[in-house]
Amino acid sequence: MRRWIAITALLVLAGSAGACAKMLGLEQERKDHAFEHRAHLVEGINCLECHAGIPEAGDTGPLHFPTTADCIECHQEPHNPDTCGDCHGRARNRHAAEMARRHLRFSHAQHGEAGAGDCVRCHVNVTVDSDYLRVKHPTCFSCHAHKGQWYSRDCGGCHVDLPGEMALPESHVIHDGNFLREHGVQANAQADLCTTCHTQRQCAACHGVTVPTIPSRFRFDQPMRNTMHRANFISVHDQQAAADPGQCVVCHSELFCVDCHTRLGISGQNPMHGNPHPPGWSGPPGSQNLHGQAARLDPLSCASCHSGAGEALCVSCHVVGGPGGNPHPPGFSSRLDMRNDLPCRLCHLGAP
Amino acid sequence: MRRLAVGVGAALALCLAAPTAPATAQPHTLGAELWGQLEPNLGLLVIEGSSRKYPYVDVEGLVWAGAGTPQFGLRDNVLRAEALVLAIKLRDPKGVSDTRLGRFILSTGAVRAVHVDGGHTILRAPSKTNFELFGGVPVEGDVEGRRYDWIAGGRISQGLGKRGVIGGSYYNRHNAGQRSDEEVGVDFSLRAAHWLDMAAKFSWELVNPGIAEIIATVSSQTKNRKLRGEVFAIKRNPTRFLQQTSLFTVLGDLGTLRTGGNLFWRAAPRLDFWVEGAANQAQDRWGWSGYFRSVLRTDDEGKGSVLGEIRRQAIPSVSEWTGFRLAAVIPIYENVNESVGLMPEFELIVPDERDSVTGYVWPWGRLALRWMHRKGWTLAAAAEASANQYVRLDVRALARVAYQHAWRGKR
Repeated sequence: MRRWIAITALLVLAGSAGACAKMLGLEQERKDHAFEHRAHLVEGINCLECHAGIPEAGDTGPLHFPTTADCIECHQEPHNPDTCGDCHGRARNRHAAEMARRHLRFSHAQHGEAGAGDCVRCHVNVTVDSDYLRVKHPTCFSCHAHKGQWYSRDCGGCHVDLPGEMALPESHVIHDGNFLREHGVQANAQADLCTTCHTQRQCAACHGVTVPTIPSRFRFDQPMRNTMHRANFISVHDQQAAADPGQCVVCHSELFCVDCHTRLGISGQNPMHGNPHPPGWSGPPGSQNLHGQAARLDPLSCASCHSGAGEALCVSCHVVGGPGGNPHPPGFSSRLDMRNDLPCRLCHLGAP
Repeated sequence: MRRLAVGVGAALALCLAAPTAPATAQPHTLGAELWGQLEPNLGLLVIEGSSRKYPYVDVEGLVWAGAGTPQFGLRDNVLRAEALVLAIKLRDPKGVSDTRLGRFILSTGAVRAVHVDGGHTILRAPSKTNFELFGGVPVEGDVEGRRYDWIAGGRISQGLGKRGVIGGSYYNRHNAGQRSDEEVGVDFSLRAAHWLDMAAKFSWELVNPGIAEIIATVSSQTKNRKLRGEVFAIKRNPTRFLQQTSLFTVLGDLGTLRTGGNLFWRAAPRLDFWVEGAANQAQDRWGWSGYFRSVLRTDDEGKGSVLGEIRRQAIPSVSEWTGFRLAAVIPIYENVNESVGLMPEFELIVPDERDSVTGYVWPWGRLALRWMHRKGWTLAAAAEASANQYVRLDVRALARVAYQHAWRGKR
């Protein structure tokens, strides 16, 4: 009995592992594999015997992949009645070649001349049966003209439409991981590199002052998009702001909070919401005056409601000679003109 | 400014007309979207377009018009139209200079992303030294607030071979005719090896002297890109980010610090994991934040996927909550020309401080259905419901109709 239980358990385990392997993509659904370029090369078969017409190919026109008929010229007794390309050579690589044909300005005719018909000089991965034969940037940059184009961020010399080509960067900044967090500092250092792929519209969708709604709400049918404000961000936005106030001010001015809260009626002035401050918040000198310490700990929280015209509330007490006392921390200095510049002149009315 | 906008608009129109000339066929796109929301009611029309005449000129624009319940740029149920982007980029054929004019996002050196009406030009010397000049009027939602506002500055950078760049920058911003920001900054980005990226930025406020921001990041990945890790540190003094005309800048600045790391792991061809942990300092208190996220693609192309995420923020008395999120993209029909998908998304926030007034949990959920056609059409609709400390029950309906057309070709 125990033996049967063990066998059944093993079968279930094996079945689950098989299902898991398929689900996780460990077991490939497709039967195709990298083409055996190296084997052909070792046999001394010239590239042009299969890829006929390449030396004359311009940057438009058909791709020069061999057909089953081409294969049968040598492999006269195929082991399988299916089309050879179904297994030999990956479909995704052929798709990549089609994308390159559509999006690259590249003429084999010109490059064949430069390389004296030596394909391997650029397609180095042929020699190792690699999965991917597209020529990499360093090979292109070995030519002086392309080096110059790279430095001047002039990708248009070869790439007709980089965003449309959907080519991921591999020779410079990689966008995996939490690139949403990392992108700002990279863009500050080399914004012109970013703009070779990314349009202004992509920047403005988040950083634009006049955006009509947040990206996660506008693109509600794309829940996998990694955005700064998730659709349910609103329920924790106050805590997020308190935890990292500097992050909000990178994009939003303090007036943004005032503006939105006032228009939506979520403020202390709204009788429905009442006074947001606890008892003892402010009072005459000598009383608890909790607001002073709170303002020093997080001035932006105060600014998020009391900016603009709301500042008058502070100045009613903290004016020079008034009961509010000096709000400056020790060692405070400023290059503003005390008599003429805001915010100094709000309090220093009679400054010499 | 209006003349500039008209000029840029005319250039955009001209370039969009260019596809009729096959000899110079380049990528041109034109798209329109209708977006609507019920309760609160809101309607938007978004038109975007871009065109390119390589190597001389790129033009792009995104304008929207909308009406509805006040939110963001909308007010008082009155129809309003705004240009989010309306920019023209000119470059000389040898790549010595790039100039962008119009309305765009400016972000370079010490300047954090600023939406401006203005210009930005780069001049490149053969020694890989770049000179940048920029200036303009910062965009404000309220036109009245823009009087006598301007920003101007520059940056000099030096290329470090083909591995990176180091730069120094300065900018000055006036608000209502008065100095409100003046910063100098140093930045660098370096790809030290094929597996090692790093970048950093330091900016110093001159009006109210002190550190405004320090950011440093170092990331590394394996050659097959199955594993990528990053360590980072961000120090910010938020009151130095405020315009120095604000009264709140005189209160001093405790600053915030966030430092930690994250790891991305492609555990299997269809399974990805992300984990991030960071120590946070805010309001003179220390705490931590972090998340763990996993995405399982249900097919090799990633057309379907399932996401699970747990997130925690714990800074005592400042921000304490835990979030759980589940989302999926479920393909339910597909052929060569069209596809239909279902997108459920659910998030539950559990605040540490909870009572019957604020609620014990804040759930949020949305179910979206989308039809896409190969020719550029997208139709989507969704129903959304949530409850949080602000509203007991909020139910909304959303809809989107989009069409995108592109002309692509090569010379």
